[in-house]
Amino acid sequence: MLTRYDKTFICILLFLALFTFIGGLNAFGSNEKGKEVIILVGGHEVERSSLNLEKSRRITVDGILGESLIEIADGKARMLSSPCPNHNCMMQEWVSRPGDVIVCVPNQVIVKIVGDDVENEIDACNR
Amino acid sequence: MINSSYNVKRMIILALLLAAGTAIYVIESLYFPAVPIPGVKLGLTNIITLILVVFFSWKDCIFNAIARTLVGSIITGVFFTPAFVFSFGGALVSTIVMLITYKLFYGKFSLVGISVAGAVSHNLTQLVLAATLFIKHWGIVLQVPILILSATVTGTANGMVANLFVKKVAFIPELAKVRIATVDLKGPNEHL
Repeated sequence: MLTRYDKTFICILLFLALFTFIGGLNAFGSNEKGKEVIILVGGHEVERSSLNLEKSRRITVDGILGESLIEIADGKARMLSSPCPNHNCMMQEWVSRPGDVIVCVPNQVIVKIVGDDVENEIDACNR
Repeated sequence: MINSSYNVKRMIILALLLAAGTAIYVIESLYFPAVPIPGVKLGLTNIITLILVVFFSWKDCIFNAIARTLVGSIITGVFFTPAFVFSFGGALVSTIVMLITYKLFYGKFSLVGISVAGAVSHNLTQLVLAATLFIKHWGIVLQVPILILSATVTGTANGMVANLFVKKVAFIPELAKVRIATVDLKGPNEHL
């Protein structure tokens, strides 16, 4: 049914898929750095600060339930403490890439990383 | 000397294959969104294209590809949307690639190899169309391995079905006749 050439061809394509996978990850994967961090409370922007800071700094924002403590260090950001019941936002740990976002629903705090080019909108949609 | 009844039969078989291809295209796009990854689908209409590539001329193949995507997209309601552009371009390019590989490599490749070549070219064409026309960002290249992998798997399956069909085609006297006539009169895959 399958000739020798068929099998060779399929194997070559499978290897090609593997190599393009590795190559694509290297080219487009994680080397994008976040430029700014935006903090939103209740949908309104409260703080926009440059993310790539050498020294660690902490920002306190007032949410619906209480104060959220956000830590920014080495181009990364995380929720350090939050008054919400489940602490899902704290469990998310560090975010650093453009498009990454930490959302604390109970306290209505959003920490958003943006890159240098425009907004992180959806660029296409497939029905 | 080809008589006119032969031409009528050939036309009827072509029309039936076009209808079958359109039906498969519509059913597949409506009921089998196999995997929730954009660009991955079964591509069962490729079986019809393979049958055409084996038994009919290149003009018939290309006409079938164009007519099938036109009619199919009108039925599914995606006419002149990006989805139509993708399936139209993909079908056209994959048909041409399969015609070329069939002509050059058929003895060495079975229909599986030809089908895989068609499927991969179909997916890559769609990716290039998406990157140049709609998304305009080459980060979409990250999808290449997924597309090649899925094309290889579905292409192998479709090629096996087409292989079986070509082997068992003597059951359908008209198609068997077409095949013999094609080979005897002008060599493989010539226009009659």
